[in-house]
Amino acid sequence: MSTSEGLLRITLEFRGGAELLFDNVKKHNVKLPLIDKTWTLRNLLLWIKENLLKERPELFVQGDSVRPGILVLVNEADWELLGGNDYVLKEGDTVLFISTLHGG
Amino acid sequence: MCTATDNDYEESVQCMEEKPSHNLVGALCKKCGNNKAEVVLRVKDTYCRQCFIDSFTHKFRATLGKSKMLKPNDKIILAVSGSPSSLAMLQLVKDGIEITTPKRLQCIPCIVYVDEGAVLGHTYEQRQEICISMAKITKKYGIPGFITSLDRCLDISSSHSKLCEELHESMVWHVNEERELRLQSLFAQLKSLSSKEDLLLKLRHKLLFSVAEELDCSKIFVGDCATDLAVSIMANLSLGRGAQLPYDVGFCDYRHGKTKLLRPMRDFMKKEIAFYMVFKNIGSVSYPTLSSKVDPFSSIQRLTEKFITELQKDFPSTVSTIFRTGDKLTSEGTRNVECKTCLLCEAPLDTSKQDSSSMQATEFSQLISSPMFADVKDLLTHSSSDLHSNAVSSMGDSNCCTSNYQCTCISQNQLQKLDFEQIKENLCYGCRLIVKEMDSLDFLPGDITSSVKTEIMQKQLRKEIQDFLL
Ligand SMILES: [Zn+2]
Ligand SMILES: [Zn+2]
Repeated sequence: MSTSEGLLRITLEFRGGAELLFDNVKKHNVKLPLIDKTWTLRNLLLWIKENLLKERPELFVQGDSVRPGILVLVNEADWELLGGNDYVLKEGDTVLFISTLHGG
Repeated sequence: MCTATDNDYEESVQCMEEKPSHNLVGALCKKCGNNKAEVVLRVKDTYCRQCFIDSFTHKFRATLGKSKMLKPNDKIILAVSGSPSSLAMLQLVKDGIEITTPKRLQCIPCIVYVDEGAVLGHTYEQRQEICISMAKITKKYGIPGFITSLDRCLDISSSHSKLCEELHESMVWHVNEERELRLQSLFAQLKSLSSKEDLLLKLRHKLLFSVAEELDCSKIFVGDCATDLAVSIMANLSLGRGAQLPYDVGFCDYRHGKTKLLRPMRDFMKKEIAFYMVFKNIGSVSYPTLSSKVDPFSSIQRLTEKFITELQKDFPSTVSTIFRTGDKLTSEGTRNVECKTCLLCEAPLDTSKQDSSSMQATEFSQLISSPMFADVKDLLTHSSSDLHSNAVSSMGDSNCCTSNYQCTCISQNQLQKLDFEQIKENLCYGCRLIVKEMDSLDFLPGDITSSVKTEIMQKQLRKEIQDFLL
């Protein structure tokens, strides 16, 4: 299996102060290994928590979802219209996290 | 209420509805019924991009129109901080003045950015960068833009220099280090983040009102949205600002008299604003604030925000319920001109003693818990020094200023040190709580301390001449 076939490439964006928890980097191009699980948003959040979050995980993730006050958009559409946490990511998706909380 | 049984309770109390679950996967726009929905509001109202932008714009114009506050050719300040809400407001105003239908917004806007970097702990480079971003925004929208900095609120009356400068892309932002140091010392004395956040807001408004005067503007638009205001309503009650709620969260803050502060974004939720920004492709200018990366428990305001956002998640009518309840708490339409106002926030003083007010209770408990009734002791020393000064003045003025006696000529110099007791009478309850945290009042804005000093001098003078009056 070649490396590009075994990977799911997506773009992650953080705005509204959420980027402060990611070394102030707003846009991340990430490659997720396609192992035996499907990449739902729920799994993606866990992955972000373990691989990308630099500090204060509780300010981003709460339980198995995002902290209330953080909006999630997939390809500029509300994740509530896509099944929320259960949405299955596709190659090339852009997932945008916007913090609406004061100070991010 | 106390005697209500469980049954009564269930029947009579209306509870907020818990979030019902809807399957919205692949839903169509509820408004046009044609396009695929891209955002869902109020749990089940689905919108496509275009219908969402249309209704968003309509709501803004309706809020402004309904208020009947804008007169043709009013000069207004758009207070743009770079936050999504303030930039959405800018876009809406720009769109509003450009349309050609009779619905056109008839006003002359300018942008004012307040650099709070000295308090927020930004580096000079960061501040310069934000300043240039603001200049670019100004240029993009073709609306004149100005920059001012928070430290300028310390010298409003004494400085003859301008409070704000015009923004342009090649500008180099200068900071006044001496004044910024004073501003930082002012904030450093405050022990709680709650007071810091509260003071920052009060000083920002104080400065904006003065800038409005300088730029000859009669209105200031700020970007406070419904979510912000719901948090403010709850937090302000805890901060002792309940009496000022109509000013702090209403559509129009008329405490200043001539210049009015308006909140045209107050009918929008944070979520609506965020989607508007995405759909219109407007980037916000974000930077760390006092509460960035801090614990949600670190201030009353942040804890309230946490409480409300978490409740909102399961009970989607939380914000609107608080907001509408707060809206009903209005004061008597017109302001009593005779009423004394707070020197810091300019709200009418809410400190006239009423029986068993919470302020009275707080003061009493402070009095009896102070070591050896320090206040009583103070009182005694005060009255004895009064005796002393009477004695001195009766000796005539010949020794004045040269003798070893403490001079009784009250000059500004001798009143340099103000203490909390002297300034207290001129502050509202909420501002007293802030100022009480300060060890020294020397860093307060100059116009506040000088007007307190003047008042004390006048009182003293009146006292000195009262024996000669019939
Ligand atoms: Zn539509
Ligand atoms: Zn006040």
